[in-house]
Amino acid sequence: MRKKLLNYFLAGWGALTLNFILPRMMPGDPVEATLGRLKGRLTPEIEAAIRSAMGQAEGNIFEQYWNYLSGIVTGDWGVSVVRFPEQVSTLVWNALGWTLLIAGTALILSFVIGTFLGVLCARRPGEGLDRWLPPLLIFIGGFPYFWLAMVSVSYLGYSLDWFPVRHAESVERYFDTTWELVLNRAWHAALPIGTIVVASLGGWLLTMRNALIGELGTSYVQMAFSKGLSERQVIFGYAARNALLPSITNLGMALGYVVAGALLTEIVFSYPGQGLLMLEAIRNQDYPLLQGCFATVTFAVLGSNLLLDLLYVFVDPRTRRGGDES
Amino acid sequence: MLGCHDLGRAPENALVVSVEQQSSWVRRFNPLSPMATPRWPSKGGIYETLMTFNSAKESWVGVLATGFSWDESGTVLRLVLRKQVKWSDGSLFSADDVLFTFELMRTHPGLDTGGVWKHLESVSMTDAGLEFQFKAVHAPLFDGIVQTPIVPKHIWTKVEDPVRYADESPVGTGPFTQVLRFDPMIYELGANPHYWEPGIPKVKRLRFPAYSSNDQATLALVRGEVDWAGNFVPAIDTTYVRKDPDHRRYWFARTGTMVFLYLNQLVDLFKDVDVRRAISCSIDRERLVDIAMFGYTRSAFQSPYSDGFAKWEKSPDQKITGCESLVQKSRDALKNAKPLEILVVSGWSDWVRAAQLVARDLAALGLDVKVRTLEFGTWFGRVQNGDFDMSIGWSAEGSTPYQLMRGLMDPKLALAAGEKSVQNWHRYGDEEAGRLLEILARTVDEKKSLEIVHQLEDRFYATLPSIPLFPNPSWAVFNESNYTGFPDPKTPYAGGSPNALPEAALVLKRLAPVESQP
Repeated sequence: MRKKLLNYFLAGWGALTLNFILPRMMPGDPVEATLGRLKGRLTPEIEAAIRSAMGQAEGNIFEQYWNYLSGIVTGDWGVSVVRFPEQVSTLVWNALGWTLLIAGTALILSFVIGTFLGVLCARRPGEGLDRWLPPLLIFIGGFPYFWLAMVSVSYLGYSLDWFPVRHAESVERYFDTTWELVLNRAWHAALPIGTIVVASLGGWLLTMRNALIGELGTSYVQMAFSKGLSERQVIFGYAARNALLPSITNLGMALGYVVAGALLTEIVFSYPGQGLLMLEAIRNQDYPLLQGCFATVTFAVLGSNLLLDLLYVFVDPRTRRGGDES
Repeated sequence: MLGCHDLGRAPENALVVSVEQQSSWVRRFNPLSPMATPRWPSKGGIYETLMTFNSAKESWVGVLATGFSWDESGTVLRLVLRKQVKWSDGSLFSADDVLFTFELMRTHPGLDTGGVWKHLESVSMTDAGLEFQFKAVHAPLFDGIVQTPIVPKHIWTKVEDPVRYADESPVGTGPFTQVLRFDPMIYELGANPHYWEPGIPKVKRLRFPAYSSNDQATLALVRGEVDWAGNFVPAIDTTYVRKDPDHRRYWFARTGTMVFLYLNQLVDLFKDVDVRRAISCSIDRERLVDIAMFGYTRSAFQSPYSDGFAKWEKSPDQKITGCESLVQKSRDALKNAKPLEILVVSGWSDWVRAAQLVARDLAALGLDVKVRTLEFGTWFGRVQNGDFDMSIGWSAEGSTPYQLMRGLMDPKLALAAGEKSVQNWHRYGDEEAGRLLEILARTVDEKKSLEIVHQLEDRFYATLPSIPLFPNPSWAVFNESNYTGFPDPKTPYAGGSPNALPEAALVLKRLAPVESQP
């Protein structure tokens, strides 16, 4: 166990270091991004004023690195350049909530629904439901997600006017009760969540279906059947539990990417989450904000993997013995 | 469940403006700091300037100052201040506030974005207003001085670091000063109760929802959710106007900056003026404007002026003549040229299309030209460092062509390879033009200035340092269902674009709600 923790620590340190180096390898700097926004108004005099106001990056590269690492630990993530004078930690924290809402909900929904449909399909492979549902979902999942989201904005949002097309709530309105606000937010989240679920359902279904079909062919299942247990008891009591393992592995991986994974959704739906924030940081070469966003993603991926490692010990008894060495 | 997103109380009537594309707002109204753009309309709408330039009429409009005069030497500028102006907290505005603002810029060079203290000796109060004493005659300084937003002394003396100051609750002399609401995705401003012009503003509330992209902003416009917008709308007649032709209109005045094809002087081929001419000749401008710009602008053949500089123009723009012999003359040079690239910012779709068309036209000359799209940061870095063959880019703004001409031909700005230059990216220096620019800077007399500008224009025609393509339109889209009084070519009391501050504040002051509104 101690070895594992050390691995996580090294991976985290490596990722954070890359996170420090990569933005600095991008051409240009925050000052230049600011200058560029001025376009025709830019004269040598204005450039001088802006450089004097924004200053050069504080200290040499090693000092910057040290400040960055200690800042990450103490929670002082610096001040955003593009959203000056807002704290990076505040920005990231606010955006994270929205991202977790849509990406998290979408992940749970598509995992539960997809896995359940997978069980249903595996019961009679090649017949009934299994004949058309998996191909259909794979077909839909095959579209570029960007396109799927745009079409739903344009048709369901714009042409039919059933769903809002931007933001996480109706910003123009005033809400007197929490109930109104919650419903309004749910309505705004419906289309982003819906498109992610539709696009990712097929993957979950196939993983579960294939694992379960394999499991149903094993001798212990045959034995359970011959002992006279009902199909339901066999599938949910024995086979499905074992077949779930690959899906859980995938879930753990997906969990980590929830934080970063809704990037396209947020851009298309103008949803104020982590993805949109990251895009803005990249466009404006906002180093502190960029580092904050990537650090959050790093922590999320590492954290969920750690969680998964721990969870496995409970779900799969075989891994317990492996961990005994420490 | 349908219509659920309409839960909650309907908002009060407000003028909805779509101007910056941001995914969320930061509460920041400091009009002087160049650290980041302050929220609209800080410069002009919240904090007023001494005067405002009307780009449609090319004339100055008095705001906090009612008039100006130069002394004979041209080193002293006198401004008469408006009387009975109050700050939005009720205290009286005076020359002291102006003095304080300029003093602030002197002690904090980071605030001096107009570079006024490079040429200014001192500022002092007079009976009628203020006197600006220059170190030497430098007429272009006028723009910088009169368009400085003036901040209140009694508030800003307490500000520790005015460069980093966010100014969340501004106190200004402008028509809209009250922050009624500020959320990450929307903010609202209310009218200044102490505004100096009686009965103005007639609009009582401004609202700014955050639209994160051009698509989102266009969608909101088409749905009729926006009253005034400053963004590009594709095929505007069919997508926008046709839905309600009585109220929806647009005015894309050709007063933005001229868009140029810049030919880097570090490339030997482009040092020959005949080659530059031949290149200009071969570009099919009509097709360029039609396809790349949706026909929203006009072609520019030889003149470096957009319509914003019409009164400085000596001769109207004309097609280039004698093209065939020019092309013939430089045929050998062109045939033996190495492959070239046109750099353009990826995602700026109109300019990308323009670059592709230009590349095709140049291929007909025998040149091997490729279009290269780059991220903004990369593009800007390479262009400023002179690391390019050709590039499509903007040019300098101003109330006179001084900055424009300086950026096109000033030898002082034509730096060596590798040195970074924010203007004159193509590094062209013409000694004669440099001499004229120096004289122009020292001339305050308008008639004499005009003569020199005409000579500069002749120099531009003679040397063609870069190739004019088309003037960038000044995007302005109106929906007059709820508010009327927007400017148009017949009543050009100001340019129509909300992007141009402080000018857009003139429009805010004229708008009025439609009478029949419930």
